[in-house]
Amino acid sequence: MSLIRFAGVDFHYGPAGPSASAILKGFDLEIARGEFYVLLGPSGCGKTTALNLLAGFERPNAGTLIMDGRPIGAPGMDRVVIFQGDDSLYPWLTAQENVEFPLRMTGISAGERRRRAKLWLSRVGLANHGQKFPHQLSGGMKQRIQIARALVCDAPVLLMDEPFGALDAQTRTILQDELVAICSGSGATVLFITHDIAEAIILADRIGVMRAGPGSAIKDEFALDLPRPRNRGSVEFAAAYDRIQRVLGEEVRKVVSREAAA
Amino acid sequence: MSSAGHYLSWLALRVLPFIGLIFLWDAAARAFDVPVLFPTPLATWDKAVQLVGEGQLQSDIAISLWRIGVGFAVGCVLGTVLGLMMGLSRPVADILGPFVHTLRFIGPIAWISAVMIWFGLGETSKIVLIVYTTTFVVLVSAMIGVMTIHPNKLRAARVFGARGWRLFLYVTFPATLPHILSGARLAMMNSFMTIIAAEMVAAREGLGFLIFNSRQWMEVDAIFVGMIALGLLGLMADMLMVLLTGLLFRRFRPLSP
Ligand SMILES: Nc1ncnc2c1ncn2[C@@H]1O[C@H](COP(=O)(O)OP(=O)(O)O)[C@@H](O)[C@H]1O
Ligand SMILES: [Mg+2]
Repeated sequence: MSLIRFAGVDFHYGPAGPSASAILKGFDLEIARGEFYVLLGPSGCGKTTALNLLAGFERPNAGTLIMDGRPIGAPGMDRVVIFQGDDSLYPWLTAQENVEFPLRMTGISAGERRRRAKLWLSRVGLANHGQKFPHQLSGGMKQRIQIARALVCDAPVLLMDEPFGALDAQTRTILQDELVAICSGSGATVLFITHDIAEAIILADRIGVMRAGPGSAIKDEFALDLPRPRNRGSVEFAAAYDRIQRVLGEEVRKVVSREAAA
Repeated sequence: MSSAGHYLSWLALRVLPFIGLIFLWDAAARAFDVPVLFPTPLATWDKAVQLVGEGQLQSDIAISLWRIGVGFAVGCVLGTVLGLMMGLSRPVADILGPFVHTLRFIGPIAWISAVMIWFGLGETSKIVLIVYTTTFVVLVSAMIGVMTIHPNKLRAARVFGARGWRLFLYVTFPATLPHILSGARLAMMNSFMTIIAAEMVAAREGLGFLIFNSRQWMEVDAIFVGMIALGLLGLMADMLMVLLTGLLFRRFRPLSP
């Protein structure tokens, strides 16, 4: 029994009409409870759009979108989002206060808030930076605040939109390994978006590759049952990389040649 | 030694151009050679001392600052409330938008005649003009502030369950505050320009009156005193605002000096 199910979902931005071109068309996706699902695809194909639908920021124009047996409604703490970039952080709040924010909205007492935020700040390696403001921290540290702010909610579902996309390769590798350590055994169900195949293989139980848009849907899926933590230099890693690259590369080439023609 | 040297060069950078300017003024006044029409710095200083001795300068400054203070405070509140409402609500923006975007081009000076006819020569007319000029600057800043909040800030808050008033109080307002504060700083400058114009036309006291009235007696030295007082007061008001917002709203990283 899957926890999350997209079935025949169509979506386009703006009002309906003959000129409205579908971003997603007949989009199907099932994610099992506790699964780490990674969505890969060429840029602009509709990965963020799919996440926005699941988060409840947008509603589908057709099809069904179900979580835990119920249709997806307004955004809520049962599926917490880690956004692309750091614009979702509150620059007037310290790191500690940013992490406390969800708990404050839930009405949890100040002492309990502080305790839980401190715990998560130290788990993401920011124990000594709680009193700093986001602008005083590096890009990697800001993403750690976002991760701590999401995980402090104890949400059953995490939605991550290229959380490490803007980071340098070294920082990205470190955060990927930390995320594996934090998530394994947490029981959380994760939808993770990236355009980085290596990142997908390090993290995923299953990988879905999306077609180039418009009217995108999942083209192919890959199950990865390699043990964790995964070794970026292993033969299995290289083999998986190769298989996925062949499918994704074809879609990326479509986008590139279309852009060249335009 | 290096910190003392630093301090000295900082001092030199601030003070020397100022002294240079006074010398330049002095040279120009001497070259012009009609002291009544173009007084030297020293003559202007003497006039300032005389006006202070008579109590005239202090009372003009006090009345002008009082008008600015009241009008500015009311205008800031009004501009913030209206700007937030227009930024938050599409219908409100649609209804008020055309009025706001027309009125803000009808500057306060264009209103002086009508305001004088309606409110007379008393305090009300001047304060109304300051309220008017402040409101529109703060309003536009607040509205733009709300409309440029990054959508992910609001989406994150909705994920965490913030709706309605709590969303406004915890996200929308703090995110807009830096814009409101820099709008207020601009509005303060506009208030200084407006009060002089208003007092020139429609007052019997105040710095604008001092400057305008001195023309009748060809007291250019008094005109200079009024102008310099105006500039220094403006500088002080601006510094005070930067200081206060820095103290009260530091976490919102408002104005740069
Ligand atoms: N708010 C929006 N309004 C209109 N079009 C949008 C909007 N957001 C995204 N799009 C378009 O939808 C397509 C998919 O975007 P997105 O889901 O962000 O892609 P991805 O995350 O895969 O890079 C793109 O062509 C993009 O231009
Ligand atoms: Mg995206």
